Amino acid sequence: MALWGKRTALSDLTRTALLLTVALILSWVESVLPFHIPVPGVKLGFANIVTVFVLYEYSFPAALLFGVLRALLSSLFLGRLSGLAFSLCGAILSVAGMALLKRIPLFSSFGVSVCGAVLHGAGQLLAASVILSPAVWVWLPAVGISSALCGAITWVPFRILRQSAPRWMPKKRQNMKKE
Amino acid sequence: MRESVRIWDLVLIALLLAACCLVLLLPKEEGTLAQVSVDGVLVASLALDTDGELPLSDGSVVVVRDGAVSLRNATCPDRLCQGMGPISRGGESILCLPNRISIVIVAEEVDGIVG
Repeated sequence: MALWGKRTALSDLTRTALLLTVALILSWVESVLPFHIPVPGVKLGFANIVTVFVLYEYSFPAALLFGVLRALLSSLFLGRLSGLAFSLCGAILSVAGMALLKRIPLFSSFGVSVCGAVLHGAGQLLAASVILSPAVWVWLPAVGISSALCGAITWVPFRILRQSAPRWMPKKRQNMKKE
Repeated sequence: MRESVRIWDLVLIALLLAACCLVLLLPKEEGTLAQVSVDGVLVASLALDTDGELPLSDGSVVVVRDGAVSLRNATCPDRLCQGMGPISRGGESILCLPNRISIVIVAEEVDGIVG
C-alpha cells in the first residue's frame, strides 16, 4: 500500500497507529462525557477531527481507510458492535463527501468539516433505514442540524491542529526530497 | 491554505440543511397502528386504541396508553429511546440504535409506512 506516502515506510505505519490511537482516545473521552445529544446517532464527533486532519494532511484513500479502521476499532473498544453498520456507513459517506468538497476551491475546511458531519449523520440514517425501517428518515432534519453544529464545533480544534501540524508532525518523505 | 470560513461554505451548509428539512414536507397521516421491529424484523403491530404492554427480548417494554406509544425500561446505555415517546401521529417513530428497536406509527395498512 502506498496510501500514506510514496511508499509505506515504517514511519507511515507508526503515524497511522498514532493517529488512530488519538482518534480512539477522543471517541472514548466523548463516550464518558456526562451528556448526550438528544438526537439518535448524533455525537460531538471529536474523532472526526482526526479523520478530517488525515484527509487534509494525506489523501482521500488514506482518510477512507482511516475512517473505516476507526469505525471498526472504536465499536470494538467501546462495546458498540451492534452499531458498527451505522458508523461504517456514516464514515464512508462522510469521507467520500468531504474529499469531493475539498476538491472544489469555493469551499474552505469549515464547509468540508460541517458537510462531513452532516453526511456522517445521513449515512447512519441510510444504514438505519435499511436495517430498521424507512421511517427513520423523519429524523433527518434533527440529525442534519445537530450534526452541522457538531461539525462547526469540531472544526475549531481541527484548525488549531492543522496550523500547528508543521511543528510536531515529522515531515513527509516527498517533502523532504523537494527541500 | 484555505483555512477560514467562506461565504460559499455557509451557502453550501444552508442548502444541505434545507435539503434535510424537505423530509418534513412529506404528508403525515393519522396513525392507528404501532409497528414494533427488532433487527428490522416486524415483531408486533399494536393497535393504538387498546392499552397494553409488550415486553421485548432485550428487557425493554413497549407501552400503549391513551392512544400513544412509549418505550420503558430501555437497556441501552444512553436511553435516548425512552425520551422519544410517547408518540401517536403517523410517521413518528421511536428508535433505539444500540438495541436495534424501532417503533413506527402507521395508518391501518401495513404497507402504508410514511417514509
